[in-house]
Amino acid sequence: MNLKGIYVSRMISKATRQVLQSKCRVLCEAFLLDCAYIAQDFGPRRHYLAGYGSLAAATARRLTLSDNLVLFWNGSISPEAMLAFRMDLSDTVRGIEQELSAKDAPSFRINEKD
Amino acid sequence: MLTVSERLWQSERLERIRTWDERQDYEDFLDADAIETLLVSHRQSEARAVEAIIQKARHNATTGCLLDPEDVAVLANVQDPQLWQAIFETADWIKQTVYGNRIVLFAPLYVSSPCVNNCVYCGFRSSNAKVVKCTLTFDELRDEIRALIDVGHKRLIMVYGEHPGSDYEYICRSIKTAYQVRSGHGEIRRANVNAAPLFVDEYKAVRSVGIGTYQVFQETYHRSTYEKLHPKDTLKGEFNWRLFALHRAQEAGIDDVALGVLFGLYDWRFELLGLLSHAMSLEKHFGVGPHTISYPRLEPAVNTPLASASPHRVSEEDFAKIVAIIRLMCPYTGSILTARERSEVRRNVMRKGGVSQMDAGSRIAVGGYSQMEREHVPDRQQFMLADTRSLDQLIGDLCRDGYLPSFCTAGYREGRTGANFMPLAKHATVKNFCIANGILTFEEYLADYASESVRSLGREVILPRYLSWVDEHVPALASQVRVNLDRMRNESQRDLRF
Repeated sequence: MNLKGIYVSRMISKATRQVLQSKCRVLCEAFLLDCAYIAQDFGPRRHYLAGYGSLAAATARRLTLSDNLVLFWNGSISPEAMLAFRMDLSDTVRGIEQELSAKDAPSFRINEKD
Repeated sequence: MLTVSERLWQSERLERIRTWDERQDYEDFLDADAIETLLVSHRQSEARAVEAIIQKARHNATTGCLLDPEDVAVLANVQDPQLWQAIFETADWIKQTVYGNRIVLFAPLYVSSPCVNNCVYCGFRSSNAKVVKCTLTFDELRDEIRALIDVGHKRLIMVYGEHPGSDYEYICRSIKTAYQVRSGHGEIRRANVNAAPLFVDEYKAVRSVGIGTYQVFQETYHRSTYEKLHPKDTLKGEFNWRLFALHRAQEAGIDDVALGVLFGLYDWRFELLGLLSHAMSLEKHFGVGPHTISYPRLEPAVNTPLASASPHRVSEEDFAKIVAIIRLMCPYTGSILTARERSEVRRNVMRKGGVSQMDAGSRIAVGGYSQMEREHVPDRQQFMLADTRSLDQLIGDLCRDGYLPSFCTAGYREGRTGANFMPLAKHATVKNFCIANGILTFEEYLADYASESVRSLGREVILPRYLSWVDEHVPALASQVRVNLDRMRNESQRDLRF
């Protein structure tokens, strides 16, 4: 059998994905969350990018990080702590936004409010 | 016949596709000789060998592993009715284990029928002058969407011909339009797409409008049959372009992709191994297998002799076997049984085959939902539908058989897509979401669209039954499900989900 490598399928780089996994892991361990993950917001679809933990059947909490990114988590965390996490993530969020805008097809993007 | 501009569009695109094919270096996952050899060498197997594969399939239901090609070759050759009974029971058991006893409902929406291809079996082929082809304007599309919303639909599969008038930009605009329509409490929450293979940049554009799943059916994995049925110098004549269509979609970031075969074009046993090879390749290279598998059977179409005379047409008995084997070989995948089949066949196969999704109240003429009183418009259809029950009738029948009808679209709106969804399906925990969200979306249907008889059946029998299931299996969620039901009933809230 012809064994070739893993094809490039992701909209974010491996390095960026690892950063996001690491940030989500810190959040989960600090606040005993079941999981935390980040998705790209396409209006109706929130497209998974990276995260940490195990999904449990529950109401996922969510926080808008930017025009295009949403954080989901299962578990309990105070608004103050989440705000601090958001601040900590802001540089990463900017980087991902730039990475996505370089790879996406922006002309057709929609939001639910469109 | 094609116009000059259609021919020009096709030839320019064909040139790009052939350039792509010269440069692509995807691993060819389809080894036809190996498949034929496997099917011959496993023509007769001991009952013990079959039983061992059945046990393996049951184990795989909670690990997400696929069966091996050898296993599928053995199952496809089983003759013993008792062993088939065991396979059918296992298919149902796997489906119950992974997804629970819910059936997700959707509607196909034929948006455009003009097509530059000339596939021998297809009513929409370019040389078939006896079928009238048309592309919906956006006003017509809004009318269709409203008609679908007003009977209770939330999920669509939007179907497009391959044509300059329905290229990727048209696809993007039509999906945006579909999402924008509101009527009463209703809206379309998930638009899946069935369209021609695209280039990576085109897929990215389609991804950006928030699609659900992208379907490309290979039709047949048997290359020489494919080449006979899809004329050379048409876009669909390019076998590799289609074979790797979903690899390109994955590269573009579309991570919910769907496989399918048009059963009846070639030996169904070969096609099953083709599907498995395809699923294995997607898993190997992207870590995400097929979100769904479809298995339409060749159906008669106007002025399309092959559709009625193919030597490989599949009997109803074999059709049930195909669906069951798909469930055993790929336990985590959504399994789609369409209204091409008669209602009696659907009822039989959905249990025997472990089906998880069905279309309902379907019309397949372009513009057909605005004329709901006409079940068939043969001269505007790709083929003939066999199950023309209304959505409400089908839901009533599902309820009488004990199923939970579901319009759930929660997963992809809560970021459970691709690699985030797969572990849930592979470890059979997705049913916890499925049943809870099924209850909530079924209550929406009962409140807003159901007939009196279905509303009574749903509220008195089905919802209590599945609330008990949640109490027993997902107790942490039980009180929130009831709170949400109260908010829907007392405060008219909608779209509550987990």
